[in-house]
Parts: sequence; C-alpha cells; structure tokens
Amino acid sequence: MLIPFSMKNCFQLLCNLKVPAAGFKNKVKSGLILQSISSDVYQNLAVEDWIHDHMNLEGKPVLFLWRNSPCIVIGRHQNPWQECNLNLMREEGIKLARRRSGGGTVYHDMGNINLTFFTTKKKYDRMQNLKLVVRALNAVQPQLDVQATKRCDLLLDGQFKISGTASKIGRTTAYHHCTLLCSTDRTFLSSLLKSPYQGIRSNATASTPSIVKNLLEKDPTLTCEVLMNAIAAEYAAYHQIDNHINLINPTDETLFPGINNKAKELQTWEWIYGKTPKFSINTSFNVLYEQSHLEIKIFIDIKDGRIQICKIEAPDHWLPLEICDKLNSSFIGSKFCPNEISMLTNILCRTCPEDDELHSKWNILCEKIKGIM
Amino acid sequence: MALPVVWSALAGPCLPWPWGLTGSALLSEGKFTDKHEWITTKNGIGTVGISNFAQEALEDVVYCSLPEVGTKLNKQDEFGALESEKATSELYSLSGEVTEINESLAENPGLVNKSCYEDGWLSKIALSNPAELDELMSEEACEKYIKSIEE
Repeated sequence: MLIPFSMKNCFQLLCNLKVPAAGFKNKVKSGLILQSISSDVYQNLAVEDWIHDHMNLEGKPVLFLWRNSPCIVIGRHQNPWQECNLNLMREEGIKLARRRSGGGTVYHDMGNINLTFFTTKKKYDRMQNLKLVVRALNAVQPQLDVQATKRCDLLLDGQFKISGTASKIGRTTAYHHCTLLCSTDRTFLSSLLKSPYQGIRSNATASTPSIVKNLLEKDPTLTCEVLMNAIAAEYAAYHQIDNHINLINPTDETLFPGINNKAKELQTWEWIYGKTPKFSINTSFNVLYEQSHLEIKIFIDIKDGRIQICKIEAPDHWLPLEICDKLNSSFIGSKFCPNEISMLTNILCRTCPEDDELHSKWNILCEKIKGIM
Repeated sequence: MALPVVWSALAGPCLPWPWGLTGSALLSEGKFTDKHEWITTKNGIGTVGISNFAQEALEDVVYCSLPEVGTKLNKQDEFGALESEKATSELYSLSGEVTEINESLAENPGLVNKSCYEDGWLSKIALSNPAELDELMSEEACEKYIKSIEE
C-alpha cells in the first residue's frame, strides 16, 4: 500500500513514532519501508548517504526502494574511462554517478529497481537480504528459478544475471544495495558499458561483465510495480511491521536536513571524475598528412582526474618537438575533460595568431585527444 | 608475549601481532580502537593499520583508498576506505596530519590481509593530540572486547 508522504502524514507518522520534527533521526518503529518519488540518481544516492549518516538503526532496519532515469553508476574506486563509453553518454545525455559503495559499474533506467537494506553493522547480512528478494519473486511467480550466488549476484535460470550487489560499512551502520532488472533497455546497456578507450593502465577496481536478462522477458506479469510491492510485503512480513510503503521526496529538507548538500557533492566533477584512482594512458592515433598516415603517440598520466604528465609525440617533419611540447605543457594540471582541453588549445592558438597551419595541427591533436576522454 | 587465545582461534593468513615478540624497544605498546584499527607511536608519529579481526572480517581487500600526504584530520574523521568483495569499509582517524601512506598497497592491496600488523600498515600520522591515545584499548582490553561482541 502506497502512502504519499505529505507534510500532514509526515508529522502524524513522526508523532506516532516519537521522533524529532526535523526528520527520522532517532526512534523509528521496528522497521521502515521508503520509496523515492524522484528518478534523479544523485538525489537518490543522497538519501542513502543521509540515512547512513543520521539514522539510528538499532533494532529498526530500513528498506529503501528507488529507480533512476537512464544513468551509469560506477563503484567508489572505479575508473569511468575503463568502464563505460563516456563519448556515447555525452551524446545521449546519460548521467554518470559514482556511488560510495564499492563493486562494479551498472546501467540504470526506469526498468531497474534499486533496493537498499539499511541495518546496524552487526545485523549486516547480504545473503539474508537476497533470500528475502528471492522469496518475494517466488511469491509472485512460484515457477521462477532465481538463485543467489556466492558473489551475491542473483541468477535467473542459472545463467542470466538479474541483480548485482554492493555495500558500505560505516561507523555504526551498514547498507547493502542491489539492482533488479525488470524491463531495462538491454541493448543500450550493452553499448554504454563497453569502453572504447585503449591503453589504460590502472589499479582501479574492475567490473565483472555478465550476461543479463530482464524478469519481464521471462514473465510479463513481473513489472517494476508488482515486484516493488512484493519485496515490500516480504520485508514487512519478515520484520513484522506494517506493509506500508512511505513515499519520500529526496529534496525535502524538513525530512532530511542537509540532504541537498549531499546531492550537490555527488554531482561535483571532483567526486565523479576526480576520485578516479591514478591511471595512465599509453596509446596512439593516426593523422592524414599529404596522402600518408602519420602515427602520433600519446602518453598521459592522470591523478585526481587531472593531467600530471602529458607527452604527445609527433613526427618531427609534421610538428617539431618544441612546438608539440607547447601543447604538452599547456595541458599539465588540466582536468582530463574535453571542454578544458578545447579551451586550453584555443588559448594556445591565440599566442600565435598568424599561424593558421599550426592552429590546424594543434586543433587536430586536440580533437584526437578529446576522443580518448 | 604469547598471542591471545582468541586471536589464535581466529587465525587467518595474517602474520601475528609483532610487538613484544620482536622485543623492539623503540615501538610503544600498540593501542586499538573499537573499530579494530591499531596504532603504534614513535616520536609522535602514529602508524595505523587494521587488526587481524578486521582483515578476517573484510576478506580479500581489493582496493585501499588512503588520504593525500599533508591531509589534516580530526578524531573520528573518515580518512579512507578499504574495499573488499564483502563491502567498502570506512577507516577512522585520530587527530593529526598524514605524513606518509603505504604506497605498496596501490599495487598490492592484499598485504592488508597477509600482514596486517607489518607490511600492510596503512598510513602514518603526526598526532596533534596524543592524549587521544589514552582513550584507546590496550591489546588485552581489545581481546576482551572482541570476545564480548562475539557473544
């Protein structure tokens, strides 16, 4: 049963539960089921951060249900250049988010359900949560063959991944979140999760690619709404709480004081790209010059998302070393980001205003380098 | 000093608690937080790592996220995280400035599991408030604490 979380309901609920008017801070009944009304990945991740940082979950666990409009979510210690096609994402307007838990890269759209199980550190138990999800699925469709693996994936028919898991353990609380594929665009998923970038050397945690399938393809009754309700019902039964899904607005500062700052932080370049573990790119590309192909070698070292070392090596007859080096030096310290590179190249070109041929070559290099970002 | 019984029972691949065994007069007695992190101090510099209990609970560490040298931290600040297949776990600090981090962990995060008290150290901090050490547990107290939380 869905309960829109209006301010009136909010105060009623809070009064019944004896919590401070500002939010859910301390005492909650022996469990709570929340569902976000937002499909913004940053706002929804901010809800997770808020609950993790502010709620006392002793004896009172929380289930949070959320879905996002199309986006890619990478794990905390991952390298987006290794994991997804950033060029395609920019063309298609697909957002990139970095979550605070570890694990691999996933594609979300409204056909995917995210489930977050919040508990105290002591009660952290991913398998228990996954078994609950399996029970819920079997309650809707008893014939469904879904099993949890040792890696905490859920497999359909023993071979298709329908859910992946990640977790975070903090001072006193922990959360386990997982995806559930109902009716996601699998074709788009595959193209976005294929990185075209070559020559990356990195210690970042890598994803484990899997063949996926949607539950709706197996059984047309398994829609997102049906499954969210089934999982909520199973959670309520397990924790012996009322089967009420409380709709929440992740931008509501009266319910979640300080949450909008958390959402902002998750959207900063410094968090999304700057937290990438240091890596290097060693690759080359070709440039057409007087009917022959010239090989341009490029070596870039990136730390905190910024270029630390940049070596572009072109044949001397095309671009002398000292001229190449002007471009190299101008990129040092820059964000590893196409817009910055364009801007820096423009600035450099203005230092040699009359030299069209040089501008053209610098611009060619600039475009090629943007292509690897 | 023999290893506490409870740690032998938990024995994983991690090398044992070295202080007392090495007889090093230069290292102070190790102290423990209730987050299963250890710290030893020498000339005001604290070396920090996680305990055997913690590395066993985490299972194989695949990534160590450590702060930049020069970062100033307050007590209870998150100074980094360890990622394992099981979860990403936050690391908590005492007050001070980071003077060194264990660079070997970038290529070899498993050192935290194999040698949590020696080669798997995480970072060094110039402690700005050494009195905070008094609030931590001795090895013996930590052993009792572990027993109590297991019950």
